[in-house]
Amino acid sequence: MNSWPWLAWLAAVLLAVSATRNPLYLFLILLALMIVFSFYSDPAGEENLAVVSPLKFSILIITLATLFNGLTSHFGATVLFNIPGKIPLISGPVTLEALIFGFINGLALSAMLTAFTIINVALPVSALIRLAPRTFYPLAVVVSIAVTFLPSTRRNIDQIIEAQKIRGHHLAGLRDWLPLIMPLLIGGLERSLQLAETMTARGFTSQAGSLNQSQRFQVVAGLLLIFCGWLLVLSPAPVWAGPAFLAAGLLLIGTAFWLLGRQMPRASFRKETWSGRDVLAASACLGVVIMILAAPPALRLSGLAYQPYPQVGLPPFDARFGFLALLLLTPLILKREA
Amino acid sequence: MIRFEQLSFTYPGAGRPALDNLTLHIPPGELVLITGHSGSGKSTFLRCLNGLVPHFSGGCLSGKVRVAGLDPVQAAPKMMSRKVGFVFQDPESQFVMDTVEDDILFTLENAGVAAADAQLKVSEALAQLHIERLRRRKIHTLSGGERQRVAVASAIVNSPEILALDEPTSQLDPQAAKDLLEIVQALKTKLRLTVLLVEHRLERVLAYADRLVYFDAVREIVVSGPPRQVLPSMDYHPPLVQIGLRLGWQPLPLSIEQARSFVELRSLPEEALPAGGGPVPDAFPALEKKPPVLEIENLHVTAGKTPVLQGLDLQLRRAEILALIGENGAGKTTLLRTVVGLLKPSAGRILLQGEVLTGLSTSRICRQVAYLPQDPNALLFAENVTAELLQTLKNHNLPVDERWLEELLARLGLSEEAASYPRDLSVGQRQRIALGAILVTRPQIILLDEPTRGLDFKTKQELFRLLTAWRSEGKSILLVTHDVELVASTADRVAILQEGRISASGAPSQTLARLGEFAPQLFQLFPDQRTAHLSVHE
Repeated sequence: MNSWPWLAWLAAVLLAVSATRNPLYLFLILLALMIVFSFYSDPAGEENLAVVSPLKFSILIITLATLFNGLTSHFGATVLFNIPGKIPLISGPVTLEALIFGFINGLALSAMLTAFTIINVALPVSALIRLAPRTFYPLAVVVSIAVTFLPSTRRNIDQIIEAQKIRGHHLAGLRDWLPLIMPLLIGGLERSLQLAETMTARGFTSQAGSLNQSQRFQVVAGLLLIFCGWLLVLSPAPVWAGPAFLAAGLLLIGTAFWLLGRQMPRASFRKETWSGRDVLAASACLGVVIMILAAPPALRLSGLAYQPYPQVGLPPFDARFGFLALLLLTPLILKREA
Repeated sequence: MIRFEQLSFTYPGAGRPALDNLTLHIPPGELVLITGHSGSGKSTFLRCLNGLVPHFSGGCLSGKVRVAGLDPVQAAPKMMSRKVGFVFQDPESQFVMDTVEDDILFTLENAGVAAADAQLKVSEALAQLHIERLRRRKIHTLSGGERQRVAVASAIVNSPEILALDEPTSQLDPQAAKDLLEIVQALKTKLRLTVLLVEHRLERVLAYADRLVYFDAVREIVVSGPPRQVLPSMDYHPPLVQIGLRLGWQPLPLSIEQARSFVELRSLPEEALPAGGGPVPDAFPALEKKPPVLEIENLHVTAGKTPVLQGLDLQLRRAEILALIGENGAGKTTLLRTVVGLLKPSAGRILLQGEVLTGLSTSRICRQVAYLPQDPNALLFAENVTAELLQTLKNHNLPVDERWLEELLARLGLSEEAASYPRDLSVGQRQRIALGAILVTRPQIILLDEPTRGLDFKTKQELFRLLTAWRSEGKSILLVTHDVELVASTADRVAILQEGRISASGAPSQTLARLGEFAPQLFQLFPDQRTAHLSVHE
């Protein structure tokens, strides 16, 4: 399985979610993500890698976001009811506009989290590590372990809750959570130490090597070029000057770290190979990016922006966004191949 | 291959050294069994081989150590990982990647092995462990035995000269343990490995060992040599060795096959029997007259869509120790969890002294039914041992009886540790604290899930004494375990769980005999005599 189409897909989803505040579009994206997740989750399996069900999590997030904004933001023309008294933040009119604004926030947040959950379930940890530049290999390993720690922490929580039930424990107030938190923290630390010991015994080292003098010079020069490029972008200099300086700076820094990575004795065994489906999936994701960022005026999507304030109205809908949501289903092609 | 000269090591903040003036030589190509009481320095010794001690642990080390021609202190773990493959006790926490192939590759990636060689090395390692079919599997879908094999494959993939295994079979059922040990022995011969294996269950491993290293914590010495030479100097023995020493069998048998020549066509000699003479009669017929306290009828439990228990019937009688045995995944833990209400059955019922338990909350059931899960650490959170016991009473809204608390702590051997922080204590002590935490409500029934896992001989003996004392007080105990020697020495009745049902139940002498090569050693040696009580504990 090639990892790049997956990363392209993640980028496309995040771009699409960030580009719009239209609840209809966000709902379509979330729907596409749920379909993708249902194809990759294994409900019959004993161990589902998703920490919680994205559907349940989305419902929770959307509900909380809607309520929070509804209760704390008192703008909008359509007043539903008033919360009396002088409770800070809470007291005041509760408006339909504030509730819808919170609902939209919840939709966007849920879509992003679901996309990451899908990546976590569909891509093996090693694939993510392989994508990291060699210089950042130790960091990539640590991050990937942190990701896999979530499911094992969930199992630990279940185990501790059961153990405390055995002792007659009831979870009523905040103080009652102490018996769960202490074993969880200590158990987590013990497991981390064990894993660290295992990794050390298997030859892993976090010493990533250090930059030599010329590489250090490259990094400093690169940072200076980026700074100058940023100033040029803000100044009335020629249009090309700023981006050129920025690109040169990034190139210098990138080269320094690439050279450092070559000094690290680490082998990589799997080369990413591109199949026809991979190319198709990546192209579809590229299509999403172009539709959002660089479509010609005639094809540009309408209705991406939506604002419920000051008075709520029906969000616009462009049928081409439906096509975009369909493109986000491309992981289904990859699933067939896997 | 391995040379320790006057090596001493003290962990940071420790009052006394974990290894004190250790001198030990191990020649290449041997399978070395390392044993000794908990805390005697076995694991520390193993970790000195690849430099985890002192590089990972910290602490103060003096003396000389050479392993495969290198000094692990100077070479550090990264270099030593090419010489020493290491397998840890807990299969859960030794995997870095999520699939079998990637985890094995992790070792090679760290060593910078050329990509062209890597796939070949992985294929070879998988073939040597007979796990080619697991290559693409996710680690979390593997059984305990499969995980340990993958761990060994990861350890040997880069062709080390030494393979160190820290209690690799402690969480495995007898079949999986046997399979693993046979593979390790084959690897030793094929790859000319020097294998060092720490293990408490000598009866499982002794027959494979070329050398025995005994860490004697009492005399503070380390005895090393051929097993037959070292065994007499040890203060505990597997049942077979115990009877061999008692009867003066020479050469001392280390396996059932070796012992058969001594007992062929002969009955169990009188002098080998426990005081009082004669085979000890099974308690089973007498038990049948006792009333059942726990009745499980036609119990069905599913995990997702997979049936785990399928029409299970079982009775636990008053003042009885009932041992439940079966392979990993047979449903033993599921049964215990269902009894205390942690899992809901899809059909059937559970009765406690005639009252239906099904549907009651776990906390209510656990006032009368104590349940000790496999990992007692999850139970412990209070700042001291007494507070652990008090917390359970508080949870159940029960009054505090100071005299009872003192008595319980004394019986558990924890009086001197009453003010200690539970997690600072040893594995055996933590287990007894957890026992105290569930027994403080004075339950009638005790359910124990693998209570001897990771315990040394001395701690197992203490547990054995507790179990028999509780039985004599009228308590009923359901014991889930792979430790057939413990079953032979303590259980009044044995039930075998297979594919979600009880496939056999009865007196230990009859039921354990069905296990064939996994039966207790004396049952295998004297199949016609009821030797249930002639065991290591006598």
